[in-house]
Amino acid sequence: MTDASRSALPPALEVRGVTKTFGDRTALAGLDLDLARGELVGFVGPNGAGKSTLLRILVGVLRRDGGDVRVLGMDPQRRSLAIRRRSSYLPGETNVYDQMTGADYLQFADSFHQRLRGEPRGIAEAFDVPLRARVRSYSAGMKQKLAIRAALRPDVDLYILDEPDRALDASVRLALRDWLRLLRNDGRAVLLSSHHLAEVEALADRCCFVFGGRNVAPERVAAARRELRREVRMRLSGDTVALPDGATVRERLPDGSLRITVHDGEPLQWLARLPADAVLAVEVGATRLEDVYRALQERGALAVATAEGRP
Amino acid sequence: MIARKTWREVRGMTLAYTVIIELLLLPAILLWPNLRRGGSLLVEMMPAQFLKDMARQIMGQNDEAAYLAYMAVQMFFKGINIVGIAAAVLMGTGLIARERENQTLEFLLARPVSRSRILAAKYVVVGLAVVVPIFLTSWTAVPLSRIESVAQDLPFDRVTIASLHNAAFVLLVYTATLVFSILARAQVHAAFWIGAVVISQVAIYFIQEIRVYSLFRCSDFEVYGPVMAGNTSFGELFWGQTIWLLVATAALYALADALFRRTGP
Repeated sequence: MTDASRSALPPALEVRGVTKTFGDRTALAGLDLDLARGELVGFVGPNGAGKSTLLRILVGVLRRDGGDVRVLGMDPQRRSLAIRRRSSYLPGETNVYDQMTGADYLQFADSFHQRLRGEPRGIAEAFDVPLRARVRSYSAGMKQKLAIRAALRPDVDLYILDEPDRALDASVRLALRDWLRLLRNDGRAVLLSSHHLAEVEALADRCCFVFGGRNVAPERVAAARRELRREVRMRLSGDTVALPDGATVRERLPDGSLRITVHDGEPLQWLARLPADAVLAVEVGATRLEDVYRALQERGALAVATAEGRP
Repeated sequence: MIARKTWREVRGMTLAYTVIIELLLLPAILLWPNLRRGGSLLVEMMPAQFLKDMARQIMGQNDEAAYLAYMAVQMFFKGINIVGIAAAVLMGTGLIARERENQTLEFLLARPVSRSRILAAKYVVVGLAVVVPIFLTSWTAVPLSRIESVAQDLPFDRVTIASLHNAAFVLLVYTATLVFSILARAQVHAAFWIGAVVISQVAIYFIQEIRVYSLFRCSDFEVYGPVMAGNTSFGELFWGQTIWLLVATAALYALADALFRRTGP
């Protein structure tokens, strides 16, 4: 598919102000999300933030209470079957059928889709499991590998993955990255929900932070990033070292290092005011995804508005 | 594929259930001559008046009529009503509740197939697994009754008519079980609720004054006795009674389908 023909198609996802409650518990409180074709978006948030609920709404497993959702241009409450024909969903809290063999499970999962992409050579080997053995004899990681294979084999426009990296070892996670990049480069849209922030950071074109059923506004994410650029992490040579004015110690980390926010001048200028032999290690302005995530949590992202941010 | 998967899950139970009915039927047939000889004792042993009446009907007639009444009790009133319903509950409760309990329901609901088709595929396969053995085991009673020590004639057509009605009754219980299976979080919860319904119906049946309110009145000796004796035709039974069981089954299935379309994982 060319870029021109792709742009003529409706986006993979358009989610506006989606709400969902379970009894008196609010799972989604007006969540927005966009995903273009050929894009891989990370979906990040703490447990209970509403990520899985949204993914279930996208494929029509759950019905939303309010808001507007378009998946590949279609409303999942009216055309969920058509959406499921053109998308593949890996549920986060699902299990594979224990009584089946691995081969039977893949055959069963494949049978629902008209077209299969197959598995990319050089990548799929990392997902090898004993296909003739019954799934009940598999470890948690092997079951997850099988579930991922079943989810990524169909040839569809949209892949919705809820914590695919759960229970996977590092080598398989790397292979999963390659497989997802391949899909994205092939023009497929991928929505990746994960608690492994490093995975999301390595893969995602954009990231949507979700707290308390809402996503964090981009200006909040940008503000958090600006503040993080003023952050210094350093390990001092001793507890008696006096810190210059113009900074606040926010946290003493388990390894003994300090997390400090410089609010007066540039962080490097502030550091220069310390005695040269006082600092054993230092990191300035780290804006890794996990830093942004933590910063948003600390800044009460639960109360934040609607829209999405960039990693 | 869902039908094939469901069949794989229940085929062992179906075989076991068929064998159990057959194993209950075989001694009942072979012991008929002994029972016939000690008939008056059987009447005295019955704990309730309607059971005494039933035993008296069996023992007080000529040999051929007595055997037909006896088989109405052994095959349908006792054998299939008990084992068939047990199988329907055991297999039916697992249809959806076990998928939910094993956390595989979400996988199934997210496939590109409608919920109605998922339910229909599962329902039909287990329904056949519950119903077909009723006919098969009943039909085996026809040649078994002809063995020398028993030497009785069991009319194939009457056995088939009675089996059809009994299958409709078991199907009704199975469909009610399906409703509980959709509503329950776990198979054991569904089994508890349908078990409570069935046991309460049995309890009502055995209380003389209120047994008319029991569902088991639709599938007891007073239904199968006249059929086996040739006093009730297929048309009379079907349009008079079986059709209502099927209508109730269809209504319960429609309810199950509506519930399943709204259910979560």
